[in-house]
Amino acid sequence: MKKALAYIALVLGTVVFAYPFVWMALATFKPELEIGELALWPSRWTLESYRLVFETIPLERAFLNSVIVVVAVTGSALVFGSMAAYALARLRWRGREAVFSLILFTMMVPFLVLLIPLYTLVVRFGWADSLLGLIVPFMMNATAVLILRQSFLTIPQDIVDAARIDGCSEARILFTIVWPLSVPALVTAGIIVFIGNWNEVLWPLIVIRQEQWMTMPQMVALFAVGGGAQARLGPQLAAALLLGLPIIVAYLFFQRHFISSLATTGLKG
Amino acid sequence: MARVRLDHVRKQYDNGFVAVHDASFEIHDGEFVVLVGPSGCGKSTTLRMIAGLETISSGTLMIGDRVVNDVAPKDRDIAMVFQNYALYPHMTVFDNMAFGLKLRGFSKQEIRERVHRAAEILDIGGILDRKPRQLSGGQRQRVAVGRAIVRQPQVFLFDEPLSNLDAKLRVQMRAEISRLHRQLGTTMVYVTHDQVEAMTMGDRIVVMNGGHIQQIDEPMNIYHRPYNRFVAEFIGSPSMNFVEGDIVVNEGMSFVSSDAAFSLKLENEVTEKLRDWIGNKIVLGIRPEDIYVAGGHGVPERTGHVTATIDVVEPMGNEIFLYARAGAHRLVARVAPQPLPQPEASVTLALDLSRLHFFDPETEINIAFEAPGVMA
Repeated sequence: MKKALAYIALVLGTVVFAYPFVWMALATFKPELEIGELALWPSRWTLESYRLVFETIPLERAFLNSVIVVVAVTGSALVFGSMAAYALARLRWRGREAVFSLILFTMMVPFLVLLIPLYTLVVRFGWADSLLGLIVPFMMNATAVLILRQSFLTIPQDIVDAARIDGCSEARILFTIVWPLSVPALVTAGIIVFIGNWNEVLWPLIVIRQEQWMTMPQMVALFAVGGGAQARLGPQLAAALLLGLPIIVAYLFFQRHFISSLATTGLKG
Repeated sequence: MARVRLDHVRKQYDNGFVAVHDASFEIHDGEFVVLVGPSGCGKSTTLRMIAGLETISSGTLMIGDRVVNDVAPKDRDIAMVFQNYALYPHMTVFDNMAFGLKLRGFSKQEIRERVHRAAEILDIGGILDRKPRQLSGGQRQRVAVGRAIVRQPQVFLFDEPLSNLDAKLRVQMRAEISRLHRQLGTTMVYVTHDQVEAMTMGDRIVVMNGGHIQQIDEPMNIYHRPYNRFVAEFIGSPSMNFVEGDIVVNEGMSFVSSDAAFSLKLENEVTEKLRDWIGNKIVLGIRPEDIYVAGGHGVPERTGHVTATIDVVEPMGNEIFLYARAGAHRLVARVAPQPLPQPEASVTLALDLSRLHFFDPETEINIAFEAPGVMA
């Protein structure tokens, strides 16, 4: 009985969370006039909304830009982030704790506070209206450093020492010994950086003016708000769904690692 | 192969803690030296300094004819076996063993040959393509040893390699490492807190405590002529018995226990050395196997008798441990199997007078200790 109640609660919870998304997904296939109705299932399936999206906005180019930016940002956040994390977790040096505190502190500063100074810097460097302006400021990520550091701390010191005696440089230890043992943490950090960066709208809106460098969320936002959708709900929803799709795919793909990392207790030799 | 030489080596951590004070000794080419002591005595730190995993605060460390204070671990030509094996979990046994060779640019052919030869020596040929997590503790330890020997280093370092194994496997691996040493003839430095490993494996033992070297000598010398009370107590199981008392002269020289529960008439050989101690406090030490039940089997000629009350009797099969008390003093005797005395029974113990040790109660140094050369 207790179990049944728990399941009912879980099902209700799932419905509450999933319903808007499912409704949106199905609504994109409805004829425009039906969208206002509460019914889930389209009476007639149509790709009209998608046709309009692809017709009015250069989605392919925006998608490509987004992929380039997000891959560069995620990749560098993992590479440089794990270097920092390794130094914080495994090397002994003066000021290590202070640097770690500083990194934690940067997580507390709201991005909005940094917006203006960061923009000024990017303009000075000449990166406004280029993908560099979208990539460089986010190449380091404090959250990734934190997640990786915690994971690296769980690796037995003896394994690191054994690698040192075997002839590894510190960089080699990081990438050939520590990385393979930290896959769940790398995936977690990767997903967090990926999602955060993929969904970013505000920063591209500020830095990018030319359409050819716009990212997908920026494009979708402009499309929805800027009148490209001709105030029609269907194409707006379709654009939003297209925007969310890569994240859903990535999450499903890495889900196993993601969950195992959140529940991980460390590795044993 | 090479010798290892420590010259006034000291390790002080940033927080001021001194893990090793002024360690000086030399490990000869091909020698098997065991560093032994309780946890926190500095033995592992000493080993890690030899490995290059800890920096040396002051002093000189030489491997072969080279000062290696500032040489990276990988360039010291050493190999190390760790307590928890430290195998790379994501690599197969073969790759674990081959890793160091690959990094050093050996040819594939050479790597294969070396790994297979080592696998043969250690009898792990059948598990080369398994991952560490699929292995038993004993197999993992063999792989860890294998990873060390494929490199053919000048010096092997072992950091408590057997302490994670069960008792039976430990005895077996102990013999195997000794055999390996005979076979390879390489210099080996072995850290353990287990005095049985120290006694059975080492050509020489370095006993450490509190960051200080207590004594360096061959196992039997350490056992029979401990430099101080710490060494006497640490080496041997059950531990040596200690009784505080005084040296008095009364028809020859005697030792009287502090509560006057018993006295022992001393032999001529020792009286000479104890002349300066007449009227002074002293600590007497005697090993459990040098205490007999009077009238029992194999009692030596010259013994001193002590009347004691039995506390606990532990029959071990081939011998019996008797825990007894004489006045305020507790004595452990290790005696041959015989009809068991009952607890609370009174028993007369016979102490072998030729096997007594005497320690200065202040410095705890063995009064009879002569051989200044032994302390390095």
